[in-house]
Amino acid sequence: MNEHDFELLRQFVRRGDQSAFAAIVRRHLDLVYATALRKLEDSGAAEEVAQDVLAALARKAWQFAPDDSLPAWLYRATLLETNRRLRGELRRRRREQTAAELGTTMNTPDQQPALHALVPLLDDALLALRERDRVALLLRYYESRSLREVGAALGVREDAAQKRVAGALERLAQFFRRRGFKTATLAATAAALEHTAVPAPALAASAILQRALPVAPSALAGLKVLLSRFAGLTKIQGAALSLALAAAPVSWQWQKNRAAQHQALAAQATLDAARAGPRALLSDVERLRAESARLTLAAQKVEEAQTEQQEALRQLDALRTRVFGLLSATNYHWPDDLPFVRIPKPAIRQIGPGKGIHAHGKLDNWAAELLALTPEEQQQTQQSLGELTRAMGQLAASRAYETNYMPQRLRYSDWSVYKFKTVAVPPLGSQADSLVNQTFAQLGQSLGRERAQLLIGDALAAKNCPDWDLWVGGCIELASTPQLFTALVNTSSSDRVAVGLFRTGQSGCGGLTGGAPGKNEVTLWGLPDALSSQFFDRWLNQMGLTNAEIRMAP
Amino acid sequence: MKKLLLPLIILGAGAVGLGRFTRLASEARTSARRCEAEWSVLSNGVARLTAEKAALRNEIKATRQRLSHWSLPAEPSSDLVRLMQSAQSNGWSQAALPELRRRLGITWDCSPDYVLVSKASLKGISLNGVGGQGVLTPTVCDVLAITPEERASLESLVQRTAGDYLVWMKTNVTRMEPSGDVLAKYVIPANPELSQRLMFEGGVGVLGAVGAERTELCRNFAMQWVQQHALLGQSSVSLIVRRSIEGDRQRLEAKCDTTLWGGNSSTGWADLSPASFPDLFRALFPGGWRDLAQRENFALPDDFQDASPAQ
Repeated sequence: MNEHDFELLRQFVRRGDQSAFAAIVRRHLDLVYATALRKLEDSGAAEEVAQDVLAALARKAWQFAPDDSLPAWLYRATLLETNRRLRGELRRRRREQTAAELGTTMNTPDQQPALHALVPLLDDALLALRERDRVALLLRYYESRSLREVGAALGVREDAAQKRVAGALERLAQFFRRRGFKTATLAATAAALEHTAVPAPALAASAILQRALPVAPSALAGLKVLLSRFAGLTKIQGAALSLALAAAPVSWQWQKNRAAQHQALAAQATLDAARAGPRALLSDVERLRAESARLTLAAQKVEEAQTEQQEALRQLDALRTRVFGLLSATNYHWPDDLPFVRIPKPAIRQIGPGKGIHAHGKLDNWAAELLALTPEEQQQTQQSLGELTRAMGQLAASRAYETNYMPQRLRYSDWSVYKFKTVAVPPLGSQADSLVNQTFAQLGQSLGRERAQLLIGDALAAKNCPDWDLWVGGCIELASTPQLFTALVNTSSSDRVAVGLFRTGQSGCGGLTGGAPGKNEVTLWGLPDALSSQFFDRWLNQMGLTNAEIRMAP
Repeated sequence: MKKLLLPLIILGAGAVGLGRFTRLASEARTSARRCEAEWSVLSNGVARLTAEKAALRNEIKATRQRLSHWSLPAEPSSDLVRLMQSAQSNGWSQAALPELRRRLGITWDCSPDYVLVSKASLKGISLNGVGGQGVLTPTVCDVLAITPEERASLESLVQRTAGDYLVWMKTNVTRMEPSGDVLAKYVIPANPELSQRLMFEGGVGVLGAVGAERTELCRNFAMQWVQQHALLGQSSVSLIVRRSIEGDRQRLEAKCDTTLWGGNSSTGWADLSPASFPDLFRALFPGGWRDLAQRENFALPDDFQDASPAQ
């Protein structure tokens, strides 16, 4: 836009300066009027169109930018307005009427018949041009601007404006020629333009201005100010402003989005870290729960154990009181509800705990209890007695000899089928006495003289051990009394083996004992290992028998 | 209006971008709020777990202190508890008695006059509780704590039982005529019905006199006496006296055979001696071998030493 036009419009828009708008009207009224008149061919209608177009300019003045072409806009607005008026039957009638009037009002030279043919298509031709060409022609011909002014309006130099005008004329002429107007030369075309450039009547200009200005706003305010300012910007400025306007909230929102993303990431990171924490904590808590449960259970067990132990101790104390009360009871009765009874110590001698001693020194529990032996005392006693029987057996074996003598007492006709072996052991003398006395002394040290006497002392004094175990009794008597050990075996029975072992004057087993059916085993119990292995085991083996007592020996 | 197109496009793009960023920000904030909410839940859980952990630690500490303050017995208490509980449920087993003796502190020196003995150990004692004439021995009276009244009752019972058997035995003993070297032969037959009746009546009598516990012990201590009386008829007993010649020396031998449940046992042939006369036959021949020799009309050896029945 011509800077002057833009400046005038801005003054009109911003301050309501009517003089500025009047100046614009004066500058471009001819263009509008001429265009309208050429189309409508009616000066009154042309004035009305000019009035309407300029009123529209006043209304839309805020929309113009510095680089907008005001002549171009006015020309297009004028054409649009005239076209609107020419629609329908009215347009045809007016044209006919105008044609009739043209013969009287317009002095058309005869030499210009082609010019008249071009005029109806002139506007179409102008619209077919590029806008810069059209503006150049409109300024040059309809506003009667000099080439320098045209150049200034177009932003080019005068010579360039001249070339632009010439080029535009040529392209306009070409438009006509393409449509069959052979005479449409540059000159004819320029003439057509000049011919249709009719200045508006002075009175008309004044009237138009007076009628257009009232419809224009006195001054713009509010949003329209902003819009006018925006409209007043160039495209680049507008784009930059739009970009700025768009970028600001987008940037602000981007920043907020970025902050929100950071916040979300931080929250997620915190959450992830928090998720890891409880796992370890939960593991700790579960471990502590298990530990607590274990300790609680242990505490309960300890409490229960303590309670049970206290109860057991109480019961034990009560039992001890009752049991030991037996010892001092003056009116003693058999205690039906107690596991113990009392026995007078003199009765123990009559019972004879020595009968509880066996071949390898083992002492029966009843004998140990009669002497109130502790487990340690019982073990020690058994060890001493075992050593005695073993030593006596070895001594006896070293002195013993076989004989084919059958003791008189065993000469029974019923037993004539029995095989027998007799081993004679002569009195072992002081060596045996020494062994026995040594054992007695050991027992006296470990058990005390009273119990040692009860165990073997009385038998030693009497040198007689009725009902004692065969060999143990033999040990007591061997020092001074010769002994015969006779074994009898009956193998004639098909399913059992009868065997007996006898010591002189004493029956070891009270008769014959049977071997286990189906097994070739017999038991010469009560015989020391040394005598058994030296004399009897081989003899039994020759009959296909085994002495099981060897296997059972400790 | 064309001039507005580019700004509109720019502003539209800006609006789209703004909307996009707004939506993204909203989603991010939503995600952050969700994370925060979940974190809040987790934090509450952590706080709860932390509190529980602290409480558990205190509980464990307290329990440990409680446990450390409890004084446990030096020896395993469970043995004593088990010992006492087993006694309550099943009575005192023989295996538990040594432990009980140890815990009660029973020793030889507990008393100068008596010793404490378990009832179970009495079953192992071999004791001849009944002497001649059906009199209880002092030892068995001491061991079983038999009172004078109980003793009188038991002795009466023993003597009555022996009397019943001997009456029957005297009536039913069979004398065999001497033949060859056999100078005398007497057979006491078995009478299981009589034995069963006498055993039953004797058992009931003992049970009534001294109770169940001592009845079993009395049976053990009376076993030798019962065997001497042919198990009160359960077994048959024969006494045989024979003459044997060894070189130019004449000897008199005797043996006593017992038949019980189809099996035989024998004392074997032995020279006549006062001690070898079977007690069972003293009811028939109170004077022993001498009475028998007189009854059967044979002469005892010149060197036969006479002796009283007590021998």
